[in-house]
Amino acid sequence: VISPEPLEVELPNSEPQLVISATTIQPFGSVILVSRSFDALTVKDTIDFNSSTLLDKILVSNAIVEITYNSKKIVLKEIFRGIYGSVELEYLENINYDLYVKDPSTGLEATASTQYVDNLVDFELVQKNYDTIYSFTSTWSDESNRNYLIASNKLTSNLNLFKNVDHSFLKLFSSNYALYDASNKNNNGKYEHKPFYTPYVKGDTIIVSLSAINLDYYSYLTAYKKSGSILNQILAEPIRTLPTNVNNGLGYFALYGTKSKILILE
Amino acid sequence: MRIILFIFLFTGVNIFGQDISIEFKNMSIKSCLETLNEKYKANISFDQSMPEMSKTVNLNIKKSSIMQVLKSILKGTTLDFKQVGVNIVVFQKTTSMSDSDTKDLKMYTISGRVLDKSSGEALPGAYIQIIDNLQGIIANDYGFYTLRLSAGSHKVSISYLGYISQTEILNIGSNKEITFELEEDGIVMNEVVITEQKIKSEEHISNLQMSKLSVPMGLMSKVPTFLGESDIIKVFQLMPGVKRGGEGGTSMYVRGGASDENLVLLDEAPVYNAGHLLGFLSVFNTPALKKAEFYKGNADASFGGRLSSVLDVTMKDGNNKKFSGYGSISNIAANITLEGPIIDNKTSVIISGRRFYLDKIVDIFIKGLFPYNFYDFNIKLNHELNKNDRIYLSSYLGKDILDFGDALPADSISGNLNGNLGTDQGNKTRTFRWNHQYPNQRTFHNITLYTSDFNYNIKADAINNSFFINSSIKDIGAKFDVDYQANNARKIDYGIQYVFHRFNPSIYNSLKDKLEELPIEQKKIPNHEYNTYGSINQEFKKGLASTLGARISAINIYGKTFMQVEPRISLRKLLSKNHSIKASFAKNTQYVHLIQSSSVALPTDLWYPTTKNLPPAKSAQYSLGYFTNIGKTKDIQVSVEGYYKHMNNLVEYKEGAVLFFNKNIEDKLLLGKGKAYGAEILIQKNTGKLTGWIGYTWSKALRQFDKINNGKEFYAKYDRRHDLSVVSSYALTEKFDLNLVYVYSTGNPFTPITAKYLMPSPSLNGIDIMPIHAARNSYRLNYSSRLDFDLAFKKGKNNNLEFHMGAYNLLNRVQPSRVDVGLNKDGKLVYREKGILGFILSFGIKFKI
Repeated sequence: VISPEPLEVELPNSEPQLVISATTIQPFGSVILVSRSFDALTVKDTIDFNSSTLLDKILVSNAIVEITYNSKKIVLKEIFRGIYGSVELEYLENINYDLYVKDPSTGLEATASTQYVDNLVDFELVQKNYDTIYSFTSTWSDESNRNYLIASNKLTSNLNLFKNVDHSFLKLFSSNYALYDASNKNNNGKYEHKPFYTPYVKGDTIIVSLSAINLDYYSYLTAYKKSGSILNQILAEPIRTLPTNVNNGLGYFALYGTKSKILILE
Repeated sequence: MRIILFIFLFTGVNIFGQDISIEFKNMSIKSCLETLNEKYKANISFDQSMPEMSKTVNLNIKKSSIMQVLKSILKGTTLDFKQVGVNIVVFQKTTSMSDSDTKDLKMYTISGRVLDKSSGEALPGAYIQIIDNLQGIIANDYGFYTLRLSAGSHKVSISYLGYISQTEILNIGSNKEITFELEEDGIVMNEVVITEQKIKSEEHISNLQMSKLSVPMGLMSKVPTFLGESDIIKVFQLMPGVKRGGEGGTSMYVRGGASDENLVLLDEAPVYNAGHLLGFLSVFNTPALKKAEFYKGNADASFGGRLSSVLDVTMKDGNNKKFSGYGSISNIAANITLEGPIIDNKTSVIISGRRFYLDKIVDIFIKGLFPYNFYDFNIKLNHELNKNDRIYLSSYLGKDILDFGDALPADSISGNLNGNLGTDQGNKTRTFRWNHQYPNQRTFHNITLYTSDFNYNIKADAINNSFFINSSIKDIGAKFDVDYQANNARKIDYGIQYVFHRFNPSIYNSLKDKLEELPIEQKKIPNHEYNTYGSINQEFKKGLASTLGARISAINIYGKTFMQVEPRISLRKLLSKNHSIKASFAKNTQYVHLIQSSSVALPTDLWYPTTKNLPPAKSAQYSLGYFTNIGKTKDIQVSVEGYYKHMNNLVEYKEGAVLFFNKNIEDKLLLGKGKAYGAEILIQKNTGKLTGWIGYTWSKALRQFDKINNGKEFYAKYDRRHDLSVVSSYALTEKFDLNLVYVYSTGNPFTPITAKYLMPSPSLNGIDIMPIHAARNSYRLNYSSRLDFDLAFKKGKNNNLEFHMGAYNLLNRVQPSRVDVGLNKDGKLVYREKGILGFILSFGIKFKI
């Protein structure tokens, strides 16, 4: 048996697009990450974020990022490379927030629209510590008619946004957020975010959060989570297109309230 | 395409419209008629033994039609003539077949079987032609035939591909039962074969059935295939309209259909998974087979249940005259077949077995490295109860086993897998049939009872985890078929069928604690299928013929019934003796879906029945074809066919649907539609030193699902614009055969990742790199081009020993099947197209006992 050499081929790349991601970071409130899509041959599976050349190519600095609501326009400031936020932004329910982003270096523009969802759900946190690991369990009763929730735990001592970039494999075993659909009310409004185990060193900080989100963002996160699951990547129909609410771009623009508990590990 | 058909339609030679001038001086009538045949291709048939054939005539005819010339030649004799289609038959007036006379003559029924002389094996599809009027009939699947003849003497010819044709004079004065025995033609280069081929070629022109592929079993076993193992599915994949799936695989995509749209029958029992070795070889053990016919369009109304094609495979009945055996040994497998009489000329048996043994060879070097094997076992008994009744009992058993045992390294996935992983899958079929020919009547019936089982199992054991997945289908069916030969020009077939299906789409069983969340068992889905069908074949005057048929199918599941009427219509017009055009229309309904991922190749298939949420798939196909014979002896059959097919209720997974552990599969599916159209050319030569074919297909296959590709139409998985195959078997000498296959095809469509982007995870503990895909199947792989060869050397008495040496992918060219990203020689990331197989050398021995 002799194997032939593979054929080296060229595939046309799609034009770069703006990528919008909005999340809540305590204590900044909601922040917007603006980046660009990049050539599929730039990296294979992981990105070395020590490469400033690559980051310069991907993260959009000096962008114009504006949010308009109630006839008021807020210009977001760049608080970290590619991350934009503003303390002036108010969080009001039942009104539209319109996002406008322009990348001055490429001239790319994108828009998106969303509504803020406040979190009226509080939770209790049960923690247990073992020799080298901690476990956390969040429980809550949803009596606020918030149907879609995201519960997450994060080790803030390692809060380096660009660490642990791994597209696939470890995610199954280090999953630390979960999505909850309370719309069917099957659980009598009682929910439990199962134990999250983390190795720690003394002095590390854990932020445990619970956020209420709308159905569209829930659907987006569900697809996003599936696309990163190792089980899905091996045994599932691939998700080729993540849903987006960004016009002329990718990602998702969502504003939501978060309740958090901060623990310093002993 | 339009231009090609136009040219073909007008190239037929028509002697009847010509005026000729000719002189006969002291010539016998026989010589006159022969002169007309030679000079003007007049297609005049006559019995040379008629007394007045030696009578001499003197004629000088100027500018007259062929009819006027014949009238002049036969003037004053008791001979007459009649035009039959494009032929002219000269006959003795006293035994004439003229319409007026025929009404007055008493007609008798001649029935019986056509058999192989040496083995007693029935010859299904044998062609029986009445020389007097050139009417022909075809023996049924069990070799039975029925003719209607008037009192008197008639000459008939009996032929079957690969056998020496035989001419008999039948003196008819009463109903008769006659068995014809044909001798297998061991030497393929003699004159008799040319005569036989001539008649077979006429059948190619005159048979109403279009879009049908058949290859003599002798040629089937010569076509070089994967690792020296002959395989009927691999052979049909080389014919126009039938596209192979992945490289080396046995999946078939027929006229734009999907791989689950092919009805595969072994002695009338359905075979749900026809592939072994992850699809590299089919389950059919060629030496045990009598015939394999492939319908890619308008199949007979008795076939149904799939949208695209029917592969009808029949096992040999077994030699009822003497014991014989044959076998083969190749790189990867060995098989042996034994057959012989239990009661001479009454009861016979055939037993055949095949074992894949590459695992044993690899074990010699590294134990457990390749823990895979499969086997097939076929057995068939047939017994003649009396001259009108015959029963058959046949069974097939095949299994694939992949058992890693302790070979899998520990800690490979979850950190605690201790390495016990295995899968097996298999088919089982059993068929009982009873044939009955009603004495002195024109009716034949067959009753079939069958079962078919397909199942696969996956099991994995770990220290703390253990799971078991099982999926299976069980069919129990009964059929009652009747053939009624009303006269030589009209045949009526009808029948009924009932099938009980029991689907177990997937059963999961978790034995230990860590996987306790998996569902323990899913419900079994039983359903009942009812079919009734019938068709009338009618020959009209002026070369016209039609088949009007219909199938009414219904399925009942959980009290809900789905019913469909599926018309099957065929038309044929003879343009001349060597040219015809045919058209057909067929509707089909499919009550079972094979749920497959569009991108992940799994070793298992999930068959799922129609339910109230998953309606039956439907298709309608229109075909038009031109058929001709070319070459000096008209032994090269040429067909050009065009088709258009549309399909509804096709199934795909939703994006993100997990393929295992689904509690409710129906929620994970999408329904869509498809269409396909194309043109196919087949040039086939089945006799002589050089045999084989050239097949070419131009085609398009499209799909549309509202929730895939933003609702826009996209190319089907194996849409390929051009497919070309050249298959040749050349007898270099009496001892050496050289067999070659060349295949060219356009690349398959695929969906590439054209860019990527970053997205922080909601918990902000990391960032994912997300792919940006192009539109579904919007890019194409490079073309495939492959040359295979096989050199056979025959030795011993009657060439009973054959040594084979062959190669797959002789030019070692990559057959692109996927694209990945990797480093090139310069260390730069590039896209690379890879295949599955490269150059593979094979050796084999075939022997006869």
